[in-house]
Amino acid sequence: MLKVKTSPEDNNTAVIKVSSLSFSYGSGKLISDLSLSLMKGEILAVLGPNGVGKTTLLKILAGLLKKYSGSFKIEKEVSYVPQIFSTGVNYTVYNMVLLGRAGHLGLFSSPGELDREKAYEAVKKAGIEGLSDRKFSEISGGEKQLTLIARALASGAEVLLLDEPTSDLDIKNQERMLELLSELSLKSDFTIIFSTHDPSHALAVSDRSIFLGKGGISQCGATEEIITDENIKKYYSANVKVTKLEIEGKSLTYCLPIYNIIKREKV
Amino acid sequence: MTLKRIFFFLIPAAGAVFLIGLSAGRYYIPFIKVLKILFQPMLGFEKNWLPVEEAVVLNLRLPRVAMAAVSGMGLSVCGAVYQGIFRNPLVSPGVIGVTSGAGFGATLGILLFGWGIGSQLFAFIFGFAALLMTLSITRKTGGNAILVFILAGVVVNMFFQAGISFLKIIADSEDQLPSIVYWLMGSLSQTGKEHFYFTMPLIIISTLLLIAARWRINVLSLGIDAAKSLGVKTGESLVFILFFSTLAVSAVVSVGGIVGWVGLIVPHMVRMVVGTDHEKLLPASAIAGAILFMLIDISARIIAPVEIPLGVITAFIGTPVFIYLLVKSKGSWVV
Repeated sequence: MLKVKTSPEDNNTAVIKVSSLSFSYGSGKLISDLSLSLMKGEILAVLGPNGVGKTTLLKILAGLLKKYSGSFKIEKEVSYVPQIFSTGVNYTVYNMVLLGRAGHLGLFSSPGELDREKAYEAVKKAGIEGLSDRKFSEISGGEKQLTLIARALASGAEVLLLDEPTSDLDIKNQERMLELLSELSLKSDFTIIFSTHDPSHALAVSDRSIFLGKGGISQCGATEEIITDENIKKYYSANVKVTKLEIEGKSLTYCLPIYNIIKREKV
Repeated sequence: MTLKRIFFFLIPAAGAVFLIGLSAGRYYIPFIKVLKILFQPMLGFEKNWLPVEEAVVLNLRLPRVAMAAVSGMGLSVCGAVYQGIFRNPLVSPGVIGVTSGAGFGATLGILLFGWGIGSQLFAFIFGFAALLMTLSITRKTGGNAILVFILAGVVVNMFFQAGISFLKIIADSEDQLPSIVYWLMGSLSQTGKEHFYFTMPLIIISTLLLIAARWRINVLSLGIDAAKSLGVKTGESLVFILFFSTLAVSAVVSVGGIVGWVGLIVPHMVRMVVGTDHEKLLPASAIAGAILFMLIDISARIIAPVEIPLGVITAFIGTPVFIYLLVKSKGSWVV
């Protein structure tokens, strides 16, 4: 799954370039002086405890929040995939994906042949053909997430910003989601930023990772270099062991939590 | 159900109700005669009817039934549009205060300039003001936006109802007050041929523009942030939609008074048949709303010796229907 790419810090072909970005919420600094760059086809994982601005960072890059300082530049078309929301409307999965074409259609236009084709391609890419005619409200959390990603693909965006795409999913669906992300990056050169609560997910698919911490601190670098026991301790105050395991001939890196639990003695 | 199938049922039904509307009333005129009177100019039937019958059909009933159809169309489409773009199944032009605001504006306009374009303009201005008030109250509050939106609408409604009461007090009780009171409760009895030239085209064009934007309303129904992140210019779309919906509703109010419930329940009833997709919901609501409003106006004319206000009938029908829908949704609408 993991691909190795060299990514020089300062590169002219960077698709996303963020320079000294800051964002304050009320009196507190949420993001402070954050800089990063990402090349075409790279995946960046955004890590950090709750409430440090992961969603805020994604929303700023998606153009949904305006009151930031600093600057950022994204060369390609962007699509933002929010966390699953409850929605009053109840469209079919295919119609939901078709809505991804909205940016290409005027106030008075309805989707045409080309839009329907693109939506169908996106449905296929996300592997949810079987769900096309199901109602969005009636499918599982994982399927909803895949539908929203298909919608982003249908929009023709080449940069995907995903807010916790693996949260609320069971293990099988987490695996499916991570495989989809790495496939999109490897085969179709999508540049992806996703936030996650699980450092193992970052280790599994991302080229680069960024930690966000309390008070606006942040740290960005190559995933394997930056996701360390020390950094997890620093940003989450959690005890973990980042370790490489040889499983079925593959070398995989995991972040394993060390629980301090006293178990009842077995009688 | 496909849109074609729906139209296959609804359009003939609308035509039939339209004819009933022309023939029914205190002065009954048979269908055949109504048809002959209508098509006489085109087909040149021999005029074997009384001049008074022709006058009743063409001068009194035709404008009135047409206005009923157009009003029902406008209110229902606007209700469906509001429910879609505000992602709130409980809203309608009445609930969020637009009709009260427009009613206040129209009353003020009538007192100042008499019935006509002046009062329509005032209806629009105050209808829009009421909408902006409800929206800004909702925006300033966090929490359960669906409920806050309804509460804001309640408050704005009360405010403009109080304004209307005040205007009634200062209105000339001999001359102006009776007609204002009667009109405000909902009545199309003042509809005349003059409404063919301005008010009806205004409502029809506004409604058709909203229907033309039906797919964009699908996009907006995902929420503003989602629509924005799909690359849609949400600000422009909302201004366009709110402008033309208020235009349609205020024009309906300035002629027919405050008729609640239609904009709330028609979209729900139509949704049960065609689903939530606005591509089908808006056109189907337009025709269903026209049918319902024509039926209500016919009932108003024939149930009792005196004409019953439209607002009274819609409330009698709307309340049980709404309670049924609310209970059926098991309260899922407000959480």
